[in-house]
Amino acid sequence: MRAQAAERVPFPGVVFAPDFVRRLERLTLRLAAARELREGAGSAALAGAGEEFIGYRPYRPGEDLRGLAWDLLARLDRPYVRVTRREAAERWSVLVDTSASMGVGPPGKLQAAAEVAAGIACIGLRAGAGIELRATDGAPPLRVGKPTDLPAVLGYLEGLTAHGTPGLGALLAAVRPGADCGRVVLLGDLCDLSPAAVLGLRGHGREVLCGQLLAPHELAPPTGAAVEWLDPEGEGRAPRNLDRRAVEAYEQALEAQLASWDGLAARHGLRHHVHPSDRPFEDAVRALLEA
Amino acid sequence: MDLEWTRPAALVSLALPALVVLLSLRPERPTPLASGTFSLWRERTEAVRGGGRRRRLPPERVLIVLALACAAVALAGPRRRAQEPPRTWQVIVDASPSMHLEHSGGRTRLEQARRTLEELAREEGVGLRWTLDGEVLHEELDEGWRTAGPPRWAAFDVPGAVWLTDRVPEEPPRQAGLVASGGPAVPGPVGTVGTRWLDWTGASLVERDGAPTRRVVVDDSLPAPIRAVARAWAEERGLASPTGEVALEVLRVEGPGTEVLAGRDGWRASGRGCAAPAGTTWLAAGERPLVTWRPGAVAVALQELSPPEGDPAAWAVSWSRLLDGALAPAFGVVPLDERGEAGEPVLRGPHTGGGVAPPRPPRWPLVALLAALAAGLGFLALVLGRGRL
Repeated sequence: MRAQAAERVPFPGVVFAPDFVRRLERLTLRLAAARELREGAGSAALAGAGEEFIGYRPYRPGEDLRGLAWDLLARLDRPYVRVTRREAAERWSVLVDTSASMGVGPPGKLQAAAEVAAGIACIGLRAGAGIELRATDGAPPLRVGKPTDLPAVLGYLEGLTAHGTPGLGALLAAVRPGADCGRVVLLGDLCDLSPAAVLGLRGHGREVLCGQLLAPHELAPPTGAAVEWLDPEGEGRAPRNLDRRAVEAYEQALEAQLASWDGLAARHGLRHHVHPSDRPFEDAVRALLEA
Repeated sequence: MDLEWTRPAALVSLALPALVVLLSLRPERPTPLASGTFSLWRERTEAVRGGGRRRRLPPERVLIVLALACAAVALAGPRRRAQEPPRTWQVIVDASPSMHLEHSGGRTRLEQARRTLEELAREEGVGLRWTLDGEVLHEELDEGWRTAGPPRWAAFDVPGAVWLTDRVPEEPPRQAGLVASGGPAVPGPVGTVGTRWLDWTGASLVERDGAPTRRVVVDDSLPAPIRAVARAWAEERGLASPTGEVALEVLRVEGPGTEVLAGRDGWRASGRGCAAPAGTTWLAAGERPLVTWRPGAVAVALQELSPPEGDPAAWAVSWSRLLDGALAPAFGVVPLDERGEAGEPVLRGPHTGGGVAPPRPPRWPLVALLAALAAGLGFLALVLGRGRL
């Protein structure tokens, strides 16, 4: 039984490397420096649809038209969006998928999700935001608000284990972010998540960031081999010859799924980023926060 | 190509490339791999049929299999089978009188031994060259050589030779083959006394009438001392008749002579002589044979001879021994010891070494070719595979 579980969920846990905290510090400093270069002084990383107006930026196709600067559009004939600074007391909610499918790798997807979550939490704490970490396994959330709470964040994430079937879809069905939540970060493979559930998170000027973590062999299956695919969240087995035709069929289906998420994000002002689990977590953090 | 192998057991190593082929072609067992996108695989791709994918042999694997096969064959040491020309055995014929005694079924011991040898030669696919004491007998074995006596067996104990006799010699051959007819005891004449036979009955000796008249021919041109002693001996032995079967010829050999001094058995004489023909030398001056003999003939190569010095009786006894020894037995006379039982038949082929078979072609060209081919294929496989082997 244990061997079968290990076969289906080969990388269930989270272990941060000894230099991980140093990497977090470096990432935080670099993001802050880049922000200052790009936008001048201030917490522009927190720029979003809050109350305090700080300027305009060009409109991106698919964004919520409610943020459109209609007067500028009338005068300049070009679409711009109002940019406001978030209130200092806002809260970020980081939801991490800990279903069994996140134990797939290598490297393990849950490990990658935890690293990205730690990166986002670290940056949020430095910006003065309150951070709420919540996993899909039903465990109590962790709520922290000071930069010195980073060890607690790391400890919470290291305690996560990929198991069971409830994913982000189930979590969103059971828990809704409060009105004071200015940013919701979803980290998982998004396999059980419906677009409707994600769209339901919008409102109250809230930003929704979707980090979709996939293992390398999920993004680019090995060719020329025979593989028996295992369902990490069930008993399913599917032996497949990975010839070029089969791999192409799979890649087309996956690409269609990812494209639908991209389209959804573009249309509704969400952020969506696909992150291979073998890439540095810094890439995902930058992609999600620096859009 | 007609091949033979120096190390045929090494052909077992051909199992190695065969094993490589089998392992390479065995159906591949799918590798279990968990995936969060499992549903995409289940819904949009076809399942494996037959439990696994049958793999193809990649080119570099084909090359390495061929290299291993070539190396295995080279290891076994192939060589072309030499086309051996028909071999020939040299038959050393025993010319003893006993060879003409009856064996069985109306055949003589010689005929019986010859028949046995010819059957063996036919089975072995060899030819036979009949020789008498080393000299090739170009004609059929006939009555002409029956008085020659046994050959010098030891001189012909060599590979490729076969002794043809009626009984196993005192010193059996080590290298030569042996065909002995064997045969029962055959009573009959063992000698003559004047015109009477001396018969062996199987238990005792008896005399009877009826022996042929025999005579000795003494050459008139012989030196006087020799002529005189030969005629006196013939008178004594009852062989001085002018008619009858010739039992011995004492003849002078013509040729340019030189001064010689010779002697034996207590006498010595000087004279003029040349070289006597081949035979058993009885008298010689240094290296030059002056008197030789063979059964039935004495050759004297002396044109002149002074009266012998020394005891006259010693001169007469010395010559009478020569003439007695050279006297051919009467037709049908066989020595008593030869008339006895010859024992069981013996049949043994000779050793075939000793250069009877021609040298075989060297085997290195074929082995070297295979080894080079194996090395070349292996190198090519490594280049093509680049670590994928």
